[in-house]
Amino acid sequence: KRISEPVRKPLVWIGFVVLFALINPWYFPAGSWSPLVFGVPYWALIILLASLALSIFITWVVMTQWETGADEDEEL
Amino acid sequence: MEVELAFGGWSGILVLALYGGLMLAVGIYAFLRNRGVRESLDEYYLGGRGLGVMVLFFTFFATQYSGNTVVGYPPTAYRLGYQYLVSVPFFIMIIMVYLLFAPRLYALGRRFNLLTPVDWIDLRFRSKKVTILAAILMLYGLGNYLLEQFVAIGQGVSGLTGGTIPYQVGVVFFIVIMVAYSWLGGMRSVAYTDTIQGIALLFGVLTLLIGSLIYLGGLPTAAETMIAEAPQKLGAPTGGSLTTWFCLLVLVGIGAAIYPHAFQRIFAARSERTLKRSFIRMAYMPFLTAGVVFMVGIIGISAFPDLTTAESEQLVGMMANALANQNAFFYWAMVLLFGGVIAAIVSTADSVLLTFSSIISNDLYGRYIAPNAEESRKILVGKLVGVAAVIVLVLIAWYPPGTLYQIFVLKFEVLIQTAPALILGLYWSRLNTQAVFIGMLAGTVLAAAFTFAGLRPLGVYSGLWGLLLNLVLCVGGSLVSQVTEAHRQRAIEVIGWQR
Repeated sequence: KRISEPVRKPLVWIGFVVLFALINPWYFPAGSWSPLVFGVPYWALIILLASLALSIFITWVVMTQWETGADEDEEL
Repeated sequence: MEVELAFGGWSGILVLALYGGLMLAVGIYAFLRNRGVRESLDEYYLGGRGLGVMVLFFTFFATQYSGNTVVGYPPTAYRLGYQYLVSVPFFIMIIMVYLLFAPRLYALGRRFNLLTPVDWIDLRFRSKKVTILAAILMLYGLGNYLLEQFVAIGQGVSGLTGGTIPYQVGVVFFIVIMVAYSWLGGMRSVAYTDTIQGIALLFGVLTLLIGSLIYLGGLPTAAETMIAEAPQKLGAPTGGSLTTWFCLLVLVGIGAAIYPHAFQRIFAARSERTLKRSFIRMAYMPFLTAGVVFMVGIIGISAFPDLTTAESEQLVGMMANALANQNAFFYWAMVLLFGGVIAAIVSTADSVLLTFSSIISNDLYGRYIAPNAEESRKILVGKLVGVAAVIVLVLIAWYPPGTLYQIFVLKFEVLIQTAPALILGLYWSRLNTQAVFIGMLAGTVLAAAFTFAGLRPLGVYSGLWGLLLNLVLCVGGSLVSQVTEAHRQRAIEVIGWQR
């Protein structure tokens, strides 16, 4: 059987650390908000996009990096 | 300042009565479909490990998003502005943290028939004191969480009906219904009602957002108000706000993922594929819930400017009231919204109560008091202790103690101290039982002391200071202590489950 756990994959950890850094707003000039996009400060939109990227990353991890075959164990 | 709700009174009572009746009917349906539910711990507490994708997804969803998400988050966004956007990524972090332990935990749950988080700790460490300490911390945290939900039910029902239903009557009505359907059908009842409650919550918040955008001005209007009156609400976080943002991501990400009632749902999945598909759906829900209620709070800044902190707590009521006055559609939509809020609170409370009872049934009574008892008897004891705890908590909710009230505030801070044992124990065969016990105890004491003293050194939350000390003692103690080959072999037998 092919056994795969996200926690053992370097690529998962690299992606997680990078995206975790991006969903923290440390890289914007303090207190800045201009330009506004549809009434939303630019930095908030970037944080939302980074959050969406994290959701997509989670989807990728679940679909491709997680296969423990736990149910097959039960059937054997 | 009390908001006079345009849709209070009898229409509110009608919706709540219908909602209560529907929940009870679902409980009876779950019981009639599976009369053996009282005979098996697996069947009663985990739905026979057979929850399908949609039911599993909605039970995760309704358990994770409580009534406070709808009623409490918009006022916070109103006061903090875009600084509170952190509420979207912190819900996504919960799912990310799940991915670090759920795959292995699910596999171990299948292999060893694990029923509760404490079950896993007992299997891994084979230590009475670690098991009992973890059980006490979880029961304590869950009890306080339940107390918070009971207070919210009373306030919600009383607020929705404009005081027509008194606080106490609202609490008793919904708690009796909740206990009845949980008693009858166990996890299946809770999961089926969670599905209805989750749909009600989603409908409510989306309608509130659409109505707010149409009638109360959109985000550009709110931005103009903030530029004129409070530009700091638009600005990127600085200094202490950045620390708070980081702490919330870590604290909520880890804390909510290891909530015992959320943790236990991993064991209830029908298959690994079911669990995976539920998690994928959960990864996008923060945008539809936390994101939506955040926008509602921001729109409130221009719709109801200059509210004091106390007044802003009523923001959702004010906005719903303004929308209910527009036309018949929004009148009933707002009635359903508040039904959805009560539903969200009840759906969190029922999950907490079920897990509370399961720890009593399986981990305390079933393991140490009467290990040879029939499973039906273990279930009955768990139910009875659960009901007794509910009665005590209701009395505390009605007559809050004048002193020592802070002991009822601790929940996240305490529950997160079980994280090293729960998560590190899955992967590290060298993890030392004694170090786990000392770390868990010291972390709890430090977190409680900082909370009671109101201390937040460097702006970091007390629960995280406790977790840091806990981890240092846990990891440091394991590295410096002697580990016997027998100990390692036993750990590898448990966690090295792959063939």
